Amino acid sequence: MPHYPHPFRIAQPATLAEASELLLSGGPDATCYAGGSELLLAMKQGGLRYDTLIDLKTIPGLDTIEEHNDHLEIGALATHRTIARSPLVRAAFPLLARLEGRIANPRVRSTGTLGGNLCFAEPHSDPGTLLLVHDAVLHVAGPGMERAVPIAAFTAGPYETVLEPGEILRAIAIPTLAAGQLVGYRRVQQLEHRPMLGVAVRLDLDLARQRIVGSRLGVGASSPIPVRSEAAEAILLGDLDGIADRLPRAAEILADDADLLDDADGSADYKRHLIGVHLGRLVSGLIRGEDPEITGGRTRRSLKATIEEWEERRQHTPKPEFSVVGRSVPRTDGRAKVTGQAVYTADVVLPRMAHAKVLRSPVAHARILSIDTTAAKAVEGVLDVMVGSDLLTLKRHLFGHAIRDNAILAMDKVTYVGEPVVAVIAEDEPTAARAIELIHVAYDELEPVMTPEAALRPGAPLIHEEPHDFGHAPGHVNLAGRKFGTNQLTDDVVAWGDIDAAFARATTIVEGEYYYPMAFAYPLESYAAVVDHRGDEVTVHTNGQHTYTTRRDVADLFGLPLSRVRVITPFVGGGFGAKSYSKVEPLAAVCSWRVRRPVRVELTVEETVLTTRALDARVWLRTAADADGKLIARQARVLMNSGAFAQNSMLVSAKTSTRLVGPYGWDAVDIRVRAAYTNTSPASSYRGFGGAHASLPGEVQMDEMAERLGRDPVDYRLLNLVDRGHVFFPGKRPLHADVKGNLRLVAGGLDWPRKEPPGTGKGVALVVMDSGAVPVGRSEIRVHGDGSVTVLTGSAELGQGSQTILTMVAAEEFGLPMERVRIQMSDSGVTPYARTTGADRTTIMEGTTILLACRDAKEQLQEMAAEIWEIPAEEIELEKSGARNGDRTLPWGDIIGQYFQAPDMEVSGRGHIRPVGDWGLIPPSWENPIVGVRVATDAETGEWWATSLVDVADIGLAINPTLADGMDIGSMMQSLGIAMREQLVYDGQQLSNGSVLNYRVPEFTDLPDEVRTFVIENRDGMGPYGAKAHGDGSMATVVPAVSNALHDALGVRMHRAPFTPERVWRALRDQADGVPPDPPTGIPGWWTATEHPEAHGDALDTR
Amino acid sequence: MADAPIDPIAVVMTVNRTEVSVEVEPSESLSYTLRNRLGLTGTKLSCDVQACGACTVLVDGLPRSSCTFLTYEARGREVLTVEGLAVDGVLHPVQEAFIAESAFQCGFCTPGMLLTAHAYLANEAEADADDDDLIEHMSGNLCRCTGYLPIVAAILRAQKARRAQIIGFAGLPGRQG
Repeated sequence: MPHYPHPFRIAQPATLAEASELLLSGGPDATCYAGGSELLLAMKQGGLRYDTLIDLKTIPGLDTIEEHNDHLEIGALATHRTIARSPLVRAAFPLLARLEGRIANPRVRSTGTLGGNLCFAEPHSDPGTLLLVHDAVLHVAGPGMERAVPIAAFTAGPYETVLEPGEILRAIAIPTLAAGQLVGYRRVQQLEHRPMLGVAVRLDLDLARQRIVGSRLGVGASSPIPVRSEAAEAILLGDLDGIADRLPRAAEILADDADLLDDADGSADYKRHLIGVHLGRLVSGLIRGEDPEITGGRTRRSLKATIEEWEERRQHTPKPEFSVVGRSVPRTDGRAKVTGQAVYTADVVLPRMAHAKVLRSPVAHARILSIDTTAAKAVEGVLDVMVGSDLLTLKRHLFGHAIRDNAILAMDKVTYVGEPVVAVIAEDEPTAARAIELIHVAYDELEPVMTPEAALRPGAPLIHEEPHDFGHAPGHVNLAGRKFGTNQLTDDVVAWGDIDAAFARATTIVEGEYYYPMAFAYPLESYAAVVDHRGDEVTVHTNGQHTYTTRRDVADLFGLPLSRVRVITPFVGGGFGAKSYSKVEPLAAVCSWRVRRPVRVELTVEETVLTTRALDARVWLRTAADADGKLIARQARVLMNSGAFAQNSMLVSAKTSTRLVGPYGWDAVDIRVRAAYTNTSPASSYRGFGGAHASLPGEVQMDEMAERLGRDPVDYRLLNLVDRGHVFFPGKRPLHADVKGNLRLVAGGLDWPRKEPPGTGKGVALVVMDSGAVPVGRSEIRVHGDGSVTVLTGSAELGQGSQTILTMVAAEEFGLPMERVRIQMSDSGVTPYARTTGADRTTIMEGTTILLACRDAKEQLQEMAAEIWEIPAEEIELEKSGARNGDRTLPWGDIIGQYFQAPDMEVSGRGHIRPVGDWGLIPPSWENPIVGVRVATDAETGEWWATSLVDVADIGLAINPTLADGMDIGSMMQSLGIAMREQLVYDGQQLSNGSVLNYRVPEFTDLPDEVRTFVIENRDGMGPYGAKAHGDGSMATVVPAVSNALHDALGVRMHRAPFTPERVWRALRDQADGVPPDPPTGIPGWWTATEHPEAHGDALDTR
Repeated sequence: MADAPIDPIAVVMTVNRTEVSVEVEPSESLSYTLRNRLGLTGTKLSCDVQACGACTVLVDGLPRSSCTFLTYEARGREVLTVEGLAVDGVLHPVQEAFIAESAFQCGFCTPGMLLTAHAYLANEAEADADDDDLIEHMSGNLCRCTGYLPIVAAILRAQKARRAQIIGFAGLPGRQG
């Protein structure tokens, strides 16, 4: 849902004088509106409020670019795109043109103006810094006069200029460069959108005398305003010969003068270092006559080879025994998704539909003293305002599939910043959003508990004071870990063998601490639900992944039977586990219940982050090997932060414990994982959970062990990996994969063991994941009288392509072209039960139930054909397209028509699975993702870029090779973000980066030069035709592989993700300074302190 | 304090080649108008702060974040949304290429990707533009599913088809002008 700014009016002056008048008369309630790309954002987010925007775009002549004698004049309203493409600018100031062509993105460049950029004075900006070294002059029109302001004097502070009331920036004049004047600009960015540092240089060279006779130096984006340093400039002057000696001092002074900020982009320390590096590179580059590169970084290789290979893989050799399966047929949802016809939850409109919006808690832990909703209720268009106590008449007012601790609206206290407290239901969204602002809540603050270390300390304040009921679908999680009367949510143990004896006979022990960060899955589509409560019946439209667990949650609220709740999941705009289990459906349901009308709830991205994030993991890990290098024991202690509600953290904790084992043969294992409630936003599933948390420590430590033993990392893993058929985890399914062979493939794809050139490196990582979730579900198919088929399945289409895959299974079974099969998915009023959509279960489990349903229908059709032909059923052969007896055949449709004497009649087939027999063996499928990464690095700045990503999709059988391949490319790129820069950071009680502007997911520019997937098809899975669980695996292995590659390139061990350039730089600096690695501590204090009040263990500073 | 009422603005604009008239609040965004007044829900909203590209539409041929583009400014201008890419049921070459390359999964970023790619091929791409140029241009559109590679492949495919079409026309006898 959008953010709604406070309403404003628009004034459209015809002249600058008129605009100036309007500005003066409007006072602080009026402002100028140019492109609006920054102003409107700030207004939408509530940071700025104006009653009147004076639209300058209607004033003629403000956007022109003119050449004058000694300068170029750029109209303040010229857009970035216009400037970038202007032949005048390109000829006179090519660097400025290039920079303007790199501002933000094409949309902002089409709209945003240079003048608006300078007047808004947002510190994280480029043009102001570059224009400083150009000595640009700003022409300002005021009431009845005009004045010229040098750019160095224009910006007064962050978001502040020297413009007086009624003054408007008219044009920017840039003096023409003289011969010998060279300009360079370097932007350091962690995201296209936003520079973290800009360094600008102008050198006035006297080439004849080989001297620098003038200079300008500017720094921006790291300082409150762009800063010029005349003292630093003076140092640069002199002979070119000695410039290398003068540069460090100049950089030092420039950094001193810049008043560098310590902020989320990096420390002032690091920025100071970067100024030194980039000033040096810019100056020496300019002197060498090089064309300065604005963003620097690696040189990208053409993707041609990678794309050709992708195309080639799509042409996968058809398998003769199949007609559809094994081919890269186009997705069945293609046309709907490229034409905008695909319906997502927020597109659903019901008659008389109202809209709800919630007020969220601004504090982490507090009792609610009072709530005043009077003013909000009085707003025209507001239907109702609801608080927690209004829900007490419900059958249940808390929900949660594992533990019923999730409040729909806070009852007597709030447990995290962002918890819903009041809901406003109104005729439209803008009205609800504006009414929310009129509500006043008084809080009595309690001591917040922000970390698991603090939460688990004996005597810590309790987040949930009353014990909650366990939920309706706990799954196979260990509920015994929830210790009521404390904040402990889980305590998962995986242990076998004699751990002390194993460590006692070890000859090599490696130990370390690791941290996997809090992440946000960021499905582009935010949480949304549309609910129509009609007393004895509720219909829910939702983008939740688990149609049927939500049905149960909603039924429980009202005490309705399952048959009276219908949950429909239209197309889902990305799930990645973040949409598993109920989120906003209960809220929308109670809103609809209150106003007796359909209600839509759609969150913003910022609200979505606060609703569910992923868990982090602080891990201590110790591994033992014997004299032959054979691994013998692994011991781990893990703390995880579940936030204020359990959601699915219990399973995340359990999977972290099991996935820490890895496909290695241990004599003894002692793994313990605890998750704690804290006063942070609730945490839950995120793609590949547990695997990702486990493989960072596990696989980095494998490399450390190999290094300690003087072995090659790949060879060392080959020595220790278990073989196919081995029960490496007591009591679980034997390994049905050739992990060694798969590792050899990935290593080969990286030219292992060939050494990489200096500054580049490569690494591998692997994990085994117990995939597939609970093997329960059923499907139905209908064979129609014309021989076409309808498939009914409870799985949801999240983008993973299950609609296509499941249609392919039915098309294959009935020998039909894809167009003759239609699939109906995830509508609990129509489709059969499916446990969940997740854990890579759909293809293998729903696929199997569809296969069984097809075969069930065929058996019925066989009986019918027997009756038609008056022969025993055994004499009938079942072919793909119909029944055969000797020479005579009957197509499926004809059997139906003749048997029922009704051409449009149908036959229904059913199939199900349940956890018995082969499906009773856990896990239903082992997934064994292996990833290889190649990185290029900049050892001076700590920056790095993934240049190759190679993985293996050991999929049993690829029902659709392109879809299988696409899942791996997607998951590798998604997890690359966590290796690079993704981490949610709490600053006190507040999440400091819960917006797309400052939580930075991978972009096109992060795409490596080479991305390859080896699809392995051994038909060794439980799914249709031997398919195995697939899709999430590579999410779990990229992060440790990058860490290992960085070690190969730079010699530093990165234990804490993300591996931001600053962290890499710090590791390099520590290494250069000879700082020794942490000494072994044994089980660390932060773990024992959770059990013993006298023990000491601080929370990790996760920034 | 009772605010004085704000007059709505009458907007006549062309959306997908059809003239439409709406009355909007001055602060109303184009995405809101398209989705809630005109029923054109193909335009998707995600970040709402011009960072993700999901809501991209073309105004007079240039990509805009409809989340932050005020509807009144579309007066007298041409707006193209994903619903207008196909003409008379015939898919645009970029749409064809996205299907052929499986360049989407969940499809939520797809409308914005298609329009940004279309604008790039139509207005920005130099004849010798390479994939690097394409990547720089597309980098303000986020996709969480595909890992971007299939999208790059699709846009290059559409570019090739476009070139072939241009060369094809030029190569026809009597068409050299």
